[in-house]
Amino acid sequence: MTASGRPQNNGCTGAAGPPPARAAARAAVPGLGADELVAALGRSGRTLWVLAAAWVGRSEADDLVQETARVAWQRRDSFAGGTDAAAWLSRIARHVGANWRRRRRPEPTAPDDLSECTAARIGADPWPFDADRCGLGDELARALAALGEVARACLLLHVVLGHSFAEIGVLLDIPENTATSHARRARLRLRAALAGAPAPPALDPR
Amino acid sequence: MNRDLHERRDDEAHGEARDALDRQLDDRLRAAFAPPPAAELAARARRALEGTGRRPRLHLPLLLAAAAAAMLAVAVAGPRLLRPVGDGRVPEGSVPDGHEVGALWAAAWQDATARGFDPSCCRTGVDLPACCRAAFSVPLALLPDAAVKLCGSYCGLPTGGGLMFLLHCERGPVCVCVLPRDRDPSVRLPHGSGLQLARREVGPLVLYALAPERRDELLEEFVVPAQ
Repeated sequence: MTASGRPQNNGCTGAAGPPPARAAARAAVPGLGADELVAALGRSGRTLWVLAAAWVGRSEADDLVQETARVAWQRRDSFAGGTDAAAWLSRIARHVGANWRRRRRPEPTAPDDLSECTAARIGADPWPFDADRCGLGDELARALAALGEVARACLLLHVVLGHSFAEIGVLLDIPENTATSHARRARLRLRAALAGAPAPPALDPR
Repeated sequence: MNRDLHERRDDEAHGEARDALDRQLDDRLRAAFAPPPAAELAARARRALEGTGRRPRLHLPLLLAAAAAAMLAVAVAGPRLLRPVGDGRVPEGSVPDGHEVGALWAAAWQDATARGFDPSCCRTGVDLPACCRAAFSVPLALLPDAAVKLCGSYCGLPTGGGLMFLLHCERGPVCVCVLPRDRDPSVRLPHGSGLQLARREVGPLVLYALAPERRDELLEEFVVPAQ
Protein backbone atom coordinates (compact mmCIF):
# COMPACT_ATOMS: atom_id res chain seq x y z
CA MET A 1 0.00 0.00 0.00
CA THR A 2 1.35 3.36 -0.92
CA ALA A 3 1.92 5.61 2.01
CA SER A 4 3.72 8.47 0.35
CA GLY A 5 3.51 11.68 2.32
CA ARG A 6 1.36 10.03 4.92
CA PRO A 7 0.49 12.51 7.71
CA GLN A 8 1.58 11.98 11.26
CA ASN A 9 -0.58 10.06 13.64
CA ASN A 10 -3.06 12.24 15.42
CA GLY A 11 -4.98 11.68 18.59
CA CYS A 12 -5.16 7.96 18.98
CA THR A 13 -3.37 5.33 20.95
CA GLY A 14 -3.21 1.84 19.56
CA ALA A 15 -2.37 -1.59 20.87
CA ALA A 16 1.00 -1.62 19.17
CA GLY A 17 1.62 2.11 19.33
CA PRO A 18 4.74 3.49 20.97
CA PRO A 19 4.56 2.76 24.71
CA PRO A 20 5.31 6.33 25.88
CA ALA A 21 2.41 7.71 23.83
CA ARG A 22 0.04 5.11 25.21
CA ALA A 23 1.19 5.73 28.75
CA ALA A 24 0.82 9.49 28.34
CA ALA A 25 -2.67 9.18 26.94
CA ARG A 26 -3.74 6.92 29.77
CA ALA A 27 -2.15 9.02 32.44
CA ALA A 28 -3.87 12.09 31.07
CA VAL A 29 -7.33 10.67 31.65
CA PRO A 30 -7.41 9.38 35.21
CA GLY A 31 -11.16 9.98 35.53
CA LEU A 32 -13.57 11.85 33.35
CA GLY A 33 -14.59 15.25 34.63
CA ALA A 34 -15.77 17.81 32.09
CA ASP A 35 -12.27 19.19 31.52
CA GLU A 36 -10.74 15.72 31.13
CA LEU A 37 -13.44 14.72 28.69
CA VAL A 38 -13.00 17.89 26.63
CA ALA A 39 -9.24 17.30 26.66
CA ALA A 40 -9.76 13.70 25.52
CA LEU A 41 -12.13 14.90 22.82
CA GLY A 42 -9.57 17.50 21.81
CA ARG A 43 -6.90 14.82 21.40
CA SER A 44 -9.19 12.38 19.61
CA GLY A 45 -11.52 14.86 17.91
CA ARG A 46 -9.99 14.58 14.46
CA THR A 47 -9.94 10.81 14.67
CA LEU A 48 -13.58 10.79 15.74
CA TRP A 49 -14.48 13.16 12.94
CA VAL A 50 -12.95 10.92 10.27
CA LEU A 51 -14.57 7.89 11.87
CA ALA A 52 -17.89 9.74 11.88
CA ALA A 53 -17.45 10.69 8.23
CA ALA A 54 -16.88 7.03 7.42
CA TRP A 55 -20.04 6.06 9.30
CA VAL A 56 -22.60 8.71 8.38
CA GLY A 57 -20.98 10.83 5.67
CA ARG A 58 -18.92 13.96 5.69
CA SER A 59 -21.82 16.37 5.98
CA GLU A 60 -23.03 14.86 9.25
CA ALA A 61 -19.65 14.16 10.82
CA ASP A 62 -19.67 17.39 12.86
CA ASP A 63 -23.03 16.55 14.35
CA LEU A 64 -22.01 12.99 15.13
CA VAL A 65 -18.87 14.15 16.96
CA GLN A 66 -20.95 16.60 18.97
CA GLU A 67 -23.50 13.92 19.79
CA THR A 68 -20.66 11.60 20.77
CA ALA A 69 -19.45 14.24 23.23
CA ARG A 70 -22.92 14.54 24.70
CA VAL A 71 -23.41 10.79 25.05
CA ALA A 72 -19.90 10.34 26.44
CA TRP A 73 -20.67 12.89 29.14
CA GLN A 74 -23.90 11.11 30.03
CA ARG A 75 -22.08 7.78 30.21
CA ARG A 76 -18.88 9.06 31.77
CA ASP A 77 -19.30 6.58 34.64
CA SER A 78 -18.83 3.72 32.19
CA PHE A 79 -15.31 4.87 31.35
CA ALA A 80 -12.77 2.69 33.11
CA GLY A 81 -9.91 4.87 34.32
CA GLY A 82 -6.55 3.87 32.89
CA THR A 83 -8.04 2.55 29.68
CA ASP A 84 -7.80 4.11 26.25
CA ALA A 85 -10.13 7.13 26.06
CA ALA A 86 -9.85 7.27 22.25
CA ALA A 87 -11.12 3.68 21.97
CA TRP A 88 -13.96 4.39 24.42
CA LEU A 89 -15.02 7.52 22.51
CA SER A 90 -14.72 5.66 19.23
CA ARG A 91 -17.04 2.93 20.50
CA ILE A 92 -19.62 5.54 21.48
CA ALA A 93 -19.29 7.28 18.10
CA ARG A 94 -19.83 3.99 16.28
CA HIS A 95 -22.90 3.15 18.33
CA VAL A 96 -24.40 6.60 17.89
CA GLY A 97 -23.58 6.49 14.16
CA ALA A 98 -25.17 3.06 13.80
CA ASN A 99 -28.34 4.35 15.46
CA TRP A 100 -28.47 7.26 13.04
CA ARG A 101 -28.10 4.91 10.12
CA ARG A 102 -30.82 2.62 11.41
CA ARG A 103 -33.21 5.54 11.86
CA ARG A 104 -32.80 6.76 8.29
CA ARG A 105 -32.53 3.36 6.59
CA PRO A 106 -36.04 3.23 5.08
CA GLU A 107 -35.82 6.71 3.63
CA PRO A 108 -33.18 6.66 0.86
CA THR A 109 -33.98 5.45 -2.61
CA ALA A 110 -31.20 4.36 -4.88
CA PRO A 111 -30.38 6.55 -7.89
CA ASP A 112 -31.39 5.09 -11.23
CA ASP A 113 -27.94 5.03 -12.74
CA LEU A 114 -26.33 2.78 -10.15
CA SER A 115 -25.83 -0.88 -10.77
CA GLU A 116 -28.43 -3.13 -9.16
CA CYS A 117 -25.94 -4.55 -6.70
CA THR A 118 -24.61 -1.16 -5.59
CA ALA A 119 -28.09 0.32 -5.44
CA ALA A 120 -29.30 -2.51 -3.25
CA ARG A 121 -26.40 -2.03 -0.88
CA ILE A 122 -26.78 1.71 -0.67
CA GLY A 123 -30.49 1.30 -0.11
CA ALA A 124 -29.84 -1.14 2.70
CA ASP A 125 -26.89 0.62 4.23
CA PRO A 126 -26.92 4.27 3.21
CA TRP A 127 -23.88 6.51 3.24
CA PRO A 128 -24.37 9.87 1.59
CA PHE A 129 -21.75 10.75 -0.97
CA ASP A 130 -21.59 14.45 -1.66
CA ALA A 131 -19.24 14.07 -4.58
CA ASP A 132 -19.49 17.67 -5.71
CA ARG A 133 -18.56 19.09 -2.31
CA CYS A 134 -15.83 16.56 -1.69
CA GLY A 135 -14.26 16.89 -5.10
CA LEU A 136 -13.92 13.15 -5.31
CA GLY A 137 -15.62 12.59 -8.62
CA ASP A 138 -18.69 10.42 -9.11
CA GLU A 139 -16.93 7.10 -9.67
CA LEU A 140 -14.73 7.39 -6.62
CA ALA A 141 -17.57 8.60 -4.43
CA ARG A 142 -19.77 5.73 -5.53
CA ALA A 143 -17.04 3.25 -4.85
CA LEU A 144 -16.61 4.73 -1.37
CA ALA A 145 -20.34 4.60 -0.76
CA ALA A 146 -20.41 0.96 -1.80
CA LEU A 147 -17.89 0.01 0.88
CA GLY A 148 -18.94 -1.09 4.32
CA GLU A 149 -18.42 1.50 7.03
CA VAL A 150 -15.66 -0.51 8.72
CA ALA A 151 -13.68 -0.80 5.50
CA ARG A 152 -14.24 2.88 4.78
CA ALA A 153 -13.08 3.80 8.28
CA CYS A 154 -9.98 1.58 8.02
CA LEU A 155 -8.92 3.23 4.78
CA LEU A 156 -9.73 6.81 5.78
CA LEU A 157 -8.13 6.63 9.22
CA HIS A 158 -4.99 5.20 7.65
CA VAL A 159 -4.78 7.55 4.68
CA VAL A 160 -6.12 10.81 6.12
CA LEU A 161 -4.70 10.72 9.64
CA GLY A 162 -1.89 8.22 9.26
CA HIS A 163 -3.09 5.84 11.96
CA SER A 164 -1.38 2.48 12.03
CA PHE A 165 -3.54 -0.61 11.55
CA ALA A 166 -2.85 -1.59 15.14
CA GLU A 167 -4.35 1.72 16.26
CA ILE A 168 -7.26 1.33 13.88
CA GLY A 169 -7.87 -2.14 15.25
CA VAL A 170 -8.17 -0.68 18.77
CA LEU A 171 -10.47 2.08 17.59
CA LEU A 172 -12.79 -0.29 15.73
CA ASP A 173 -12.56 -3.29 18.06
CA ILE A 174 -11.19 -5.53 15.33
CA PRO A 175 -7.89 -7.41 14.98
CA GLU A 176 -5.03 -5.57 13.33
CA ASN A 177 -4.93 -8.04 10.44
CA THR A 178 -8.61 -7.50 9.77
CA ALA A 179 -8.08 -3.74 9.66
CA THR A 180 -5.22 -4.25 7.22
CA SER A 181 -7.33 -6.50 4.97
CA HIS A 182 -10.27 -4.10 5.00
CA ALA A 183 -8.06 -1.19 3.99
CA ARG A 184 -6.27 -3.20 1.30
CA ARG A 185 -9.48 -4.43 -0.32
CA ALA A 186 -11.07 -1.00 -0.04
CA ARG A 187 -8.05 0.46 -1.79
CA LEU A 188 -8.31 -2.09 -4.59
CA ARG A 189 -11.90 -1.10 -5.22
CA LEU A 190 -11.20 2.62 -5.11
CA ARG A 191 -8.15 2.22 -7.31
CA ALA A 192 -10.26 0.36 -9.85
CA ALA A 193 -12.89 3.09 -9.71
CA LEU A 194 -10.26 5.75 -10.18
CA ALA A 195 -8.74 3.95 -13.14
CA GLY A 196 -12.15 3.31 -14.65
CA ALA A 197 -11.53 -0.44 -14.57
CA PRO A 198 -14.11 -3.04 -13.53
CA ALA A 199 -14.25 -3.21 -9.73
CA PRO A 200 -13.16 -6.35 -7.88
CA PRO A 201 -15.92 -8.55 -6.46
CA ALA A 202 -18.16 -6.95 -3.84
CA LEU A 203 -16.93 -6.84 -0.27
CA ASP A 204 -18.62 -8.00 2.84
CA PRO A 205 -19.96 -4.70 4.20
CA ARG A 206 -18.74 -5.50 7.72
CA MET B 1 16.24 -13.99 -21.66
CA ASN B 2 14.67 -11.19 -23.68
CA ARG B 3 11.22 -12.30 -22.61
CA ASP B 4 12.27 -12.13 -18.92
CA LEU B 5 13.56 -8.62 -19.45
CA HIS B 6 10.33 -7.53 -21.13
CA GLU B 7 8.23 -9.07 -18.35
CA ARG B 8 10.31 -7.34 -15.68
CA ARG B 9 9.93 -4.01 -17.47
CA ASP B 10 6.17 -4.57 -17.74
CA ASP B 11 5.99 -5.34 -14.02
CA GLU B 12 7.96 -2.22 -13.15
CA ALA B 13 5.79 -0.05 -15.39
CA HIS B 14 2.68 -1.58 -13.89
CA GLY B 15 3.98 -0.97 -10.36
CA GLU B 16 4.77 2.66 -11.12
CA ALA B 17 1.33 3.24 -12.60
CA ARG B 18 -0.27 1.63 -9.56
CA ASP B 19 1.77 3.78 -7.17
CA ALA B 20 0.83 6.91 -9.10
CA LEU B 21 -2.82 5.92 -8.88
CA ASP B 22 -2.49 5.29 -5.15
CA ARG B 23 -0.87 8.68 -4.62
CA GLN B 24 -3.68 10.33 -6.53
CA LEU B 25 -6.24 8.39 -4.51
CA ASP B 26 -4.60 9.31 -1.19
CA ASP B 27 -4.43 12.98 -2.13
CA ARG B 28 -8.10 13.06 -3.04
CA LEU B 29 -9.17 11.29 0.12
CA ARG B 30 -7.06 13.60 2.30
CA ALA B 31 -8.52 16.66 0.61
CA ALA B 32 -12.09 15.38 0.82
CA PHE B 33 -11.97 14.15 4.42
CA ALA B 34 -9.68 16.69 6.08
CA PRO B 35 -11.15 17.09 9.57
CA PRO B 36 -11.62 20.51 11.19
CA PRO B 37 -8.89 21.78 13.55
CA ALA B 38 -8.71 19.97 16.88
CA ALA B 39 -9.35 23.18 18.82
CA GLU B 40 -12.58 23.77 16.93
CA LEU B 41 -13.77 20.24 17.66
CA ALA B 42 -12.86 20.66 21.34
CA ALA B 43 -14.84 23.91 21.50
CA ARG B 44 -17.86 22.20 20.00
CA ALA B 45 -17.48 19.31 22.40
CA ARG B 46 -17.43 21.70 25.35
CA ARG B 47 -20.58 23.39 24.08
CA ALA B 48 -22.25 19.99 23.74
CA LEU B 49 -21.26 19.12 27.30
CA GLU B 50 -22.56 22.38 28.68
CA GLY B 51 -25.83 21.86 26.87
CA THR B 52 -26.11 18.45 28.47
CA GLY B 53 -25.35 19.56 32.00
CA ARG B 54 -27.58 22.57 32.12
CA ARG B 55 -30.52 21.65 29.97
CA PRO B 56 -33.62 22.58 32.00
CA ARG B 57 -36.64 20.30 32.02
CA LEU B 58 -39.44 22.82 31.95
CA HIS B 59 -43.06 21.81 32.37
CA LEU B 60 -45.69 23.71 30.42
CA PRO B 61 -46.96 25.78 33.41
CA LEU B 62 -43.39 26.80 34.22
CA LEU B 63 -42.80 27.65 30.57
CA LEU B 64 -45.91 29.84 30.50
CA ALA B 65 -44.87 31.54 33.74
CA ALA B 66 -41.42 32.22 32.31
CA ALA B 67 -42.92 33.64 29.12
CA ALA B 68 -45.20 35.90 31.14
CA ALA B 69 -42.28 37.12 33.24
CA ALA B 70 -40.27 37.84 30.09
CA MET B 71 -43.13 39.84 28.58
CA LEU B 72 -43.48 41.80 31.79
CA ALA B 73 -39.76 42.55 31.84
CA VAL B 74 -39.87 43.78 28.24
CA ALA B 75 -42.87 45.93 28.97
CA VAL B 76 -41.17 47.51 31.99
CA ALA B 77 -37.63 47.87 30.68
CA GLY B 78 -38.62 48.70 27.13
CA PRO B 79 -36.58 48.19 23.97
CA ARG B 80 -33.31 48.49 25.88
CA LEU B 81 -33.53 44.75 26.58
CA LEU B 82 -33.98 43.92 22.92
CA ARG B 83 -30.90 45.80 21.72
CA PRO B 84 -29.26 43.95 18.83
CA VAL B 85 -25.75 42.63 19.35
CA GLY B 86 -24.58 42.61 15.74
CA ASP B 87 -23.40 46.22 15.77
CA GLY B 88 -20.14 45.58 17.54
CA ARG B 89 -21.58 45.80 21.03
CA VAL B 90 -20.55 43.15 23.47
CA PRO B 91 -23.48 41.04 24.64
CA GLU B 92 -24.33 41.56 28.26
CA GLY B 93 -24.79 38.76 30.75
CA SER B 94 -22.73 36.47 32.89
CA VAL B 95 -18.98 36.18 32.41
CA PRO B 96 -18.26 33.22 30.11
CA ASP B 97 -15.98 30.35 31.04
CA GLY B 98 -12.27 31.05 30.41
CA HIS B 99 -11.60 27.59 28.99
CA GLU B 100 -14.48 27.86 26.58
CA VAL B 101 -13.45 31.29 25.38
CA GLY B 102 -9.87 30.03 24.97
CA ALA B 103 -11.04 27.14 22.82
CA LEU B 104 -13.13 29.51 20.70
CA TRP B 105 -10.18 31.84 20.24
CA ALA B 106 -7.89 28.99 19.28
CA ALA B 107 -10.45 27.84 16.70
CA ALA B 108 -10.83 31.41 15.43
CA TRP B 109 -7.04 31.69 15.11
CA GLN B 110 -6.90 28.47 13.09
CA ASP B 111 -9.71 29.73 10.90
CA ALA B 112 -8.21 33.20 10.38
CA THR B 113 -4.71 31.95 9.60
CA ALA B 114 -6.05 29.22 7.32
CA ARG B 115 -7.81 31.92 5.32
CA GLY B 116 -4.76 34.19 5.39
CA PHE B 117 -6.66 36.98 7.18
CA ASP B 118 -8.60 37.52 3.96
CA PRO B 119 -11.89 39.46 3.70
CA SER B 120 -13.96 36.29 4.13
CA CYS B 121 -13.09 36.36 7.83
CA CYS B 122 -11.70 39.84 8.35
CA ARG B 123 -13.67 43.06 8.07
CA THR B 124 -11.19 45.57 6.71
CA GLY B 125 -11.21 49.34 6.98
CA VAL B 126 -12.09 49.20 10.65
CA ASP B 127 -11.73 52.39 12.71
CA LEU B 128 -10.30 50.89 15.91
CA PRO B 129 -11.16 53.74 18.32
CA ALA B 130 -14.68 54.10 16.93
CA CYS B 131 -15.23 50.36 17.00
CA CYS B 132 -14.12 50.08 20.64
CA ARG B 133 -16.08 53.15 21.64
CA ALA B 134 -19.22 51.58 20.18
CA ALA B 135 -18.58 48.28 21.96
CA PHE B 136 -17.15 49.42 25.30
CA SER B 137 -17.56 53.19 25.38
CA VAL B 138 -13.76 53.37 25.42
CA PRO B 139 -11.80 54.56 22.34
CA LEU B 140 -8.91 52.12 22.35
CA ALA B 141 -6.24 53.19 19.84
CA LEU B 142 -2.82 52.24 18.51
CA LEU B 143 0.13 54.53 19.18
CA PRO B 144 0.83 56.80 16.19
CA ASP B 145 4.21 55.17 15.57
CA ALA B 146 3.09 51.62 16.24
CA ALA B 147 4.97 49.10 14.13
CA VAL B 148 1.88 47.03 13.41
CA LYS B 149 -0.69 46.98 10.67
CA LEU B 150 -4.33 46.54 11.62
CA CYS B 151 -5.85 44.20 9.02
CA GLY B 152 -9.37 44.43 10.43
CA SER B 153 -11.80 42.83 12.83
CA TYR B 154 -12.37 39.07 12.79
CA CYS B 155 -15.85 38.08 11.63
CA GLY B 156 -15.68 34.31 11.19
CA LEU B 157 -16.35 31.83 14.00
CA PRO B 158 -17.83 32.80 17.38
CA THR B 159 -15.32 34.36 19.78
CA GLY B 160 -17.30 34.26 23.01
CA GLY B 161 -17.99 38.00 23.21
CA GLY B 162 -15.56 40.88 23.01
CA LEU B 163 -13.83 42.00 19.86
CA MET B 164 -11.04 40.28 17.98
CA PHE B 165 -8.70 42.23 15.73
CA LEU B 166 -6.26 40.78 13.24
CA LEU B 167 -2.89 42.46 12.97
CA HIS B 168 0.32 41.97 11.06
CA CYS B 169 3.68 42.98 12.44
CA GLU B 170 7.29 42.15 11.78
CA ARG B 171 7.17 38.88 13.69
CA GLY B 172 4.04 37.65 11.95
CA PRO B 173 0.25 37.68 12.39
CA VAL B 174 -1.37 38.29 15.76
CA CYS B 175 -4.95 38.30 17.02
CA VAL B 176 -5.73 40.89 19.67
CA CYS B 177 -8.87 40.24 21.68
CA VAL B 178 -10.45 43.06 23.65
CA LEU B 179 -12.83 42.65 26.58
CA PRO B 180 -14.11 44.90 29.35
CA ARG B 181 -12.00 44.25 32.44
CA ASP B 182 -15.01 43.39 34.58
CA ARG B 183 -16.02 40.67 32.12
CA ASP B 184 -12.60 39.10 31.74
CA PRO B 185 -13.02 35.34 32.19
CA SER B 186 -9.25 34.76 32.66
CA VAL B 187 -8.93 33.11 29.31
CA ARG B 188 -6.98 29.86 29.14
CA LEU B 189 -6.09 28.18 25.87
CA PRO B 190 -6.73 24.47 25.37
CA HIS B 191 -3.79 22.13 25.80
CA GLY B 192 -1.95 21.45 22.58
CA SER B 193 -3.26 24.52 20.77
CA GLY B 194 0.30 25.60 19.98
CA LEU B 195 -0.62 29.18 20.84
CA GLN B 196 0.40 31.61 23.57
CA LEU B 197 -1.57 34.36 25.25
CA ALA B 198 -0.22 37.67 26.49
CA ARG B 199 -2.47 39.84 28.65
CA ARG B 200 -2.49 43.52 29.50
CA GLU B 201 -4.98 45.79 31.19
CA VAL B 202 -5.49 49.14 29.49
CA GLY B 203 -7.86 51.40 31.38
CA PRO B 204 -11.18 49.64 31.78
CA LEU B 205 -10.28 47.14 29.07
CA VAL B 206 -8.24 43.99 29.02
CA LEU B 207 -6.29 43.00 25.92
CA TYR B 208 -5.08 39.55 24.97
CA ALA B 209 -2.55 38.92 22.22
CA LEU B 210 -2.96 35.49 20.62
CA ALA B 211 -0.10 34.09 18.54
CA PRO B 212 2.24 31.11 18.38
CA GLU B 213 4.66 33.08 20.61
CA ARG B 214 3.99 35.37 23.55
CA ARG B 215 3.62 38.89 22.22
CA ASP B 216 3.56 41.07 25.34
CA GLU B 217 5.42 43.86 23.58
CA LEU B 218 2.72 44.22 20.96
CA LEU B 219 0.12 45.05 23.60
CA GLU B 220 2.26 48.02 24.66
CA GLU B 221 1.30 49.61 21.34
CA PHE B 222 -2.30 50.12 22.50
CA VAL B 223 -3.49 53.09 24.51
CA VAL B 224 -6.71 54.65 25.72
CA PRO B 225 -6.40 58.35 24.86
CA ALA B 226 -7.44 60.84 27.51
CA GLN B 227 -10.98 61.97 26.72
